[in-house]
Amino acid sequence: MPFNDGYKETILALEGVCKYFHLKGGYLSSKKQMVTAVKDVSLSFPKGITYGLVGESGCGKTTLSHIMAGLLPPDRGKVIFYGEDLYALGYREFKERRKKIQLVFQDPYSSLNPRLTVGYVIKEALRQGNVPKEELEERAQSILISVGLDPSCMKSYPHQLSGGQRQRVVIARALCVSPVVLIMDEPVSSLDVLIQAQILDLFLEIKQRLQITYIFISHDLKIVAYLSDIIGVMFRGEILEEGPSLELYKNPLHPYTQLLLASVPKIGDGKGLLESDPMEELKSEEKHIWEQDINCCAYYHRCNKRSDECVSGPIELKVIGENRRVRCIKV
Amino acid sequence: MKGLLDIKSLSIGLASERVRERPFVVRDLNLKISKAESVCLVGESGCGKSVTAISIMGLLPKGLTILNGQIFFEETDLLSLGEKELRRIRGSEISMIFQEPMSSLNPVLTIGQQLKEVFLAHRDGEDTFGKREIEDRCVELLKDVGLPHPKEQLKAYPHMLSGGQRQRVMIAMAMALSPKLIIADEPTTALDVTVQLQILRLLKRLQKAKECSLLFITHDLSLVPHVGDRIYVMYKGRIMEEGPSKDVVLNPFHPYTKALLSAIVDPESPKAQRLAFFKESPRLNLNTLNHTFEKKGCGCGYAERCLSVQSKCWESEPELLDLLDLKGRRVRCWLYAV
Repeated sequence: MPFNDGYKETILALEGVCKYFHLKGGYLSSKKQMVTAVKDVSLSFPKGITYGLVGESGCGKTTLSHIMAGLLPPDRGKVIFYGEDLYALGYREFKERRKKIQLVFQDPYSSLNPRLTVGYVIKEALRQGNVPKEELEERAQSILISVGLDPSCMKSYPHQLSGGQRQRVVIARALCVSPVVLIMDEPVSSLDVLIQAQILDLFLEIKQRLQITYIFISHDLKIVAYLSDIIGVMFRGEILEEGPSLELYKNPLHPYTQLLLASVPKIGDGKGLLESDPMEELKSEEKHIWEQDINCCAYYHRCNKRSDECVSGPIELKVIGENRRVRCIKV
Repeated sequence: MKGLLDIKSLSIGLASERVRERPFVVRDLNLKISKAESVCLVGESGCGKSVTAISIMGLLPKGLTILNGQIFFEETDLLSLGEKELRRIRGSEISMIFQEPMSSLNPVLTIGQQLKEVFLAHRDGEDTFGKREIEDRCVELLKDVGLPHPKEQLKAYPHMLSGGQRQRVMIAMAMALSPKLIIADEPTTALDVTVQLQILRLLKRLQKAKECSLLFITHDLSLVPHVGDRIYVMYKGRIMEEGPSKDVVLNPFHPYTKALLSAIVDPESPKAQRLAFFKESPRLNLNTLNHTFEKKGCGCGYAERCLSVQSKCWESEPELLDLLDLKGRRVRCWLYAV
């Protein structure tokens, strides 16, 4: 694994993980359609790292996060957590281990039960973390303070809180069981820019304090690059490019990463952003994901550098330089 | 440039009996849009930017009433018009693109039915269209917004389209009768970055081609210099700063505008600087945050969050001051009062 230098141990690793979803047809039907949501993904997450996963909606990043968090068994491949295959463990052990990997979901509106108070939610999570009864109140308060909330909100219901506050509650809940890995699935995309910045800073602050391994998932390359040490770019279930965040942000190698980067609006560069080829959308008529050819580069239909070589066989992730990997034959 | 829309000291308040306790959602707002100009309205959620947009369309929900002010659209005061006259203007003169393409299309009607409805609803004008003609125009519209296979798409239901495609349909609907003003209320917040760029390009291209004005509502300041000619920054129902969009973004005056700008993350900034924002912003207290509505005459609305707050700020509220040496720029802050 390329990125282990400087970091002590690999805490979580994916080995050739695949996940398929069936679209049409029951088990007697002759017509079967399958979506490959995650296609042969191998990643490793060293302890204490922040790994950013970027990709557009529908590229399989959420499915991958569920597989990593122990919520969805993969169809092929292994999830290695502390040296053991997570999905091969016995039920009781699996449950204990799974607690150490926590998830923060995208939508703070739907990930809190509207009928439970904040205090109840936090205390319930703390009980799962085997905190004795006498300490519950105190621990709940201190954990709320640590995410920048006033302890007086223990009695509030989720609808009484703003989006940013709700997201803080969700983060607090995830921290209750003292996780080792925190997976964040688009945690800021439904928030205002100001609140977004506050939540991002909260992440940085928690990270400094608790030394958790972060897996940060988003469609916004700017935010991912800001927060993470290593970025993986995902497209149609595959990792297209991987590398240290600043290097990747300054010098993207894969055409898709280049497109993502060009889509980030920057303040300085005037009006040029909106003035390129207006009909470019029409040119690329994509196939549906289930019609995809295995021998073809996943990005082929949208790539501006495509040629016949791209459809001649499956494309492997190439290691480039010390620590970058790219799935493109042109590089 | 001739003014197209001119909002004069508009105040919108809650219609409840407790009006005196929390009076204003929008307070004393002046906003001008010239012909073929694009104007951005920026602010965080709950600051009243959407309410302003809705009030232009005359679509305020029951709980809100207009307390004061006028909205002139080409010499006519929209607020004095009756429902019938407003209906004629809505859609044909002023149209709106909403934030969520998922919920603003009817899921049980096809795209074609919903597009045709625009023409049918405005049939009473001089140019009436035949059935065939309407169909042709719908295809033309979908082609304009860059949807592949426009003819087949007319028969598609909204759930068959992706978020970006749905937003394209919304734009096609808004453009259908070549309105003079388009109000886009956060049209891209629910979309991916690459799709966001496509939609913005489309919007700007059509706006230029049809020479209509655009009121673009957003909370993301990084989009503003690309989309708008001028910008209004809004906080708690008040305009805090206005001016040419590039000038304001590159050289902001009001502390709130500065805060909004500092919230845009820069991946190339050194890691040591990154915790600054969190340290500066005081710990969020529920009690202070819940006061979304400004009390009358209690000083500057931004004072409780402002980093350069003075004692004066709590006592009285500054006017929206012209900055003499900079044309078109106005700021509501005691720091710049002479």
